[in-house]
Amino acid sequence: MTAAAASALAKIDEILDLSRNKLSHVPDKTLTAGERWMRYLGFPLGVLTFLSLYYMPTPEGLTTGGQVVIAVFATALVWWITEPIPTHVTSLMLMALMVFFHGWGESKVLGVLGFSVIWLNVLAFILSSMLVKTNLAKRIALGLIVRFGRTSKWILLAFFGLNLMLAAFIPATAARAAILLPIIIVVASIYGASNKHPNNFGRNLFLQNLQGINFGSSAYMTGSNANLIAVAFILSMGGSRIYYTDWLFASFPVVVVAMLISWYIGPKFVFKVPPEQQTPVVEGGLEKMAEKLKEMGAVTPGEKKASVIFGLVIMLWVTDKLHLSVLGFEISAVMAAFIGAVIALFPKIGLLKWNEADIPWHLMLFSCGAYAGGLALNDTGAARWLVGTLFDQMNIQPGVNFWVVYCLVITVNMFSHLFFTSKTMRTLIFIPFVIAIAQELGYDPLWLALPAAFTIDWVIGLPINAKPNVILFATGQYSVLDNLKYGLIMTTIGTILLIIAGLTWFRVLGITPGWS
Amino acid sequence: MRARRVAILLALTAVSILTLFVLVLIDGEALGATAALPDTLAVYEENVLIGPDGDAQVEVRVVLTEGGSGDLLLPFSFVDGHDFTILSGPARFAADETGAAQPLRRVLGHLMLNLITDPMARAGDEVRVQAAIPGWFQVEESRRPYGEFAVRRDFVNRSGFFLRELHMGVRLPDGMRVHAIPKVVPAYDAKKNPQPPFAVGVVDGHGTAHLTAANLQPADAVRMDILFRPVRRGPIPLIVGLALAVLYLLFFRDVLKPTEGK
Repeated sequence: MTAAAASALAKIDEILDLSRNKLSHVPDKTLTAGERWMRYLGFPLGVLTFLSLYYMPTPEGLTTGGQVVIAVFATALVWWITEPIPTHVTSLMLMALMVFFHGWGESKVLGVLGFSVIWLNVLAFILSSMLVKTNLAKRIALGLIVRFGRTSKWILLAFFGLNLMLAAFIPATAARAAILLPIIIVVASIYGASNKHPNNFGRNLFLQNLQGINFGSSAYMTGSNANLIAVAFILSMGGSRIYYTDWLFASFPVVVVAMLISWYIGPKFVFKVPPEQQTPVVEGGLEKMAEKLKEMGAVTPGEKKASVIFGLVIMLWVTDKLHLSVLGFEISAVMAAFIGAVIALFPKIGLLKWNEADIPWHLMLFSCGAYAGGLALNDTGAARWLVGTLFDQMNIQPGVNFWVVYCLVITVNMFSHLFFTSKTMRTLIFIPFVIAIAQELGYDPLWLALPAAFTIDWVIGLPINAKPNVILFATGQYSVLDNLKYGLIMTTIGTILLIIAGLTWFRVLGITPGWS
Repeated sequence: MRARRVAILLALTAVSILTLFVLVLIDGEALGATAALPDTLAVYEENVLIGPDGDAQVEVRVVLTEGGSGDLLLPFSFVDGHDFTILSGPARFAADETGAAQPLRRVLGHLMLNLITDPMARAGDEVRVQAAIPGWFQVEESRRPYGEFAVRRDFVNRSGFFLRELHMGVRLPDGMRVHAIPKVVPAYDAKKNPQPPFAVGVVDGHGTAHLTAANLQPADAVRMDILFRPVRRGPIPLIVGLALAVLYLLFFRDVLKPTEGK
């Protein structure tokens, strides 16, 4: 081996040494002038937001507790986006303000840290650390790069395909994020992106995965629990039974087109990937990657063990519907991850020591604040009041053209995700409203409710909007503003796609009113 | 000997008949069911209007499902009441042997509103009754942290009627607004019913809370806990908030300086 070749392989080792980029470490970021001004003005802007909402007369139908929660949550949204203080500190302030102003009870606020979503995050990072430590993540990532990574665009497309495939089998989006996280981090490193030096390829990679994980779920009726709740509402309130294939034939093509558009516009327009980020940063490129993969040799016993542990967890996630009939009890997504984490950490049997588990606790606090805010909005009736007021303001009266109503419903449902932290809550509030509107206007509820249900999984605007978003945000490879920018672009595209589909494809399928 | 046996038999029979009669009477009273009235009420509504001094006024409204004369014994969810008035509807209060109106009657230890419907009462007719409940809201006892007050409304269907619709409302003193509804019974499950059973609002400048329940069997219970607070907010958050905003702008000017990520 020549000195140059040895140096290239050493560089790969250096790039793939993820211990240098621990997720539990919060790096400082280099900011543009605009971002610095946003940060400077963000704090007073948040304070003014709070004061104006807190002191405004309590609107009809809203409790004063709900008003406090809206004021606090809106303030936190301003601070999460402008980042005058770290996002996890904003979360802590949100929780404290809700307690001090008695928007939500102290025990409820503190109890959020024990929620299954937080546990799932912790356990996902333990499992991810196991894959990184044993080099299994590196092997899979190198394999992907060698197979698809001639240029960055093909690796991005491969991830969209992978997400679409995983969504068919694993309904828990956080579980999918946990599976992909270590692989994405390694791939990002190979293209020069790290939390200390984020680049546009990394932004595309992480945010396209965030989109793939989330709206990829929209391709299948079983893609998320929220989809199933929507289907149950459409049956119980709207009287229409939706079958798996009804959903699949209608939504799958929309999702695929959305993924392809995102894949095309991301690196070209949203976060333009310069030529130097389009290929692996290692001198010698793909050949050296292949060489490195070869050098890794046969799969080690540690990797095999990690595969078995992770495979067991994935198997439990995939077979969740069979647990009751086979085992006599159900193992939830969290408990499946629990089993995996316990085995991984078990002395002598496992692979990981506690100090090797890279758990970003600042992220757990950030999640806690986001969930506490979202739950309080729901618990105080504030979310329902906001949605009801919004629909009232639209003043949809009988006789209005169906397509005007359709466009309004899709747009409102799609963009509403920015103010929610749970798909389930959004479904519980929105879908009954949409069905009620359809019934009031004399339409078949299916015409509006099913297309509205297709928007449920489009939770891509902010890190607080869904569990996978929080997990991916922990990598520090993109800012809240990056997430919002790409998220808003894709949400707009998704809205347009669903409107076009409503006017054409859904009509063919009989979901929206036909031409006759 | 034989005469004695017959006498015992007759006495036992008399006791049995008397016992049966008492049981039927008590049962009939407790359940409020008479031959003339149906065992269903379309609507039962009970609104409590709290005054500034803690005295309350209760308004009860019932909608009949069938006409005719008969006893209308309705649950009265308060320990006492005065100034009972029938505001409207084909009914009068029951009277004692002297002919004096007896709006309340104690049955099995519980107070019941004691009404008699008129013979010309028809299905769909509405009967509205009003009463004063002095000292119902005890300001100091109801005081909670954060400047809030708590009230609790309970309704147990001690009538014998099946209630198709129950409405239970509270109108708060002037200048008060509902802060939260911490508990309702039956518990509300959004997954089963997307519409919450309670609503808050403002009527004539007064904060209101309203609970709706349907299909209440005799002995079914309904409850609504309400936290409320003055609508006016103190100035401290405004002063502290503005001070923090100004201090941030003064002491965090270095945020505007370019920095290199570490």
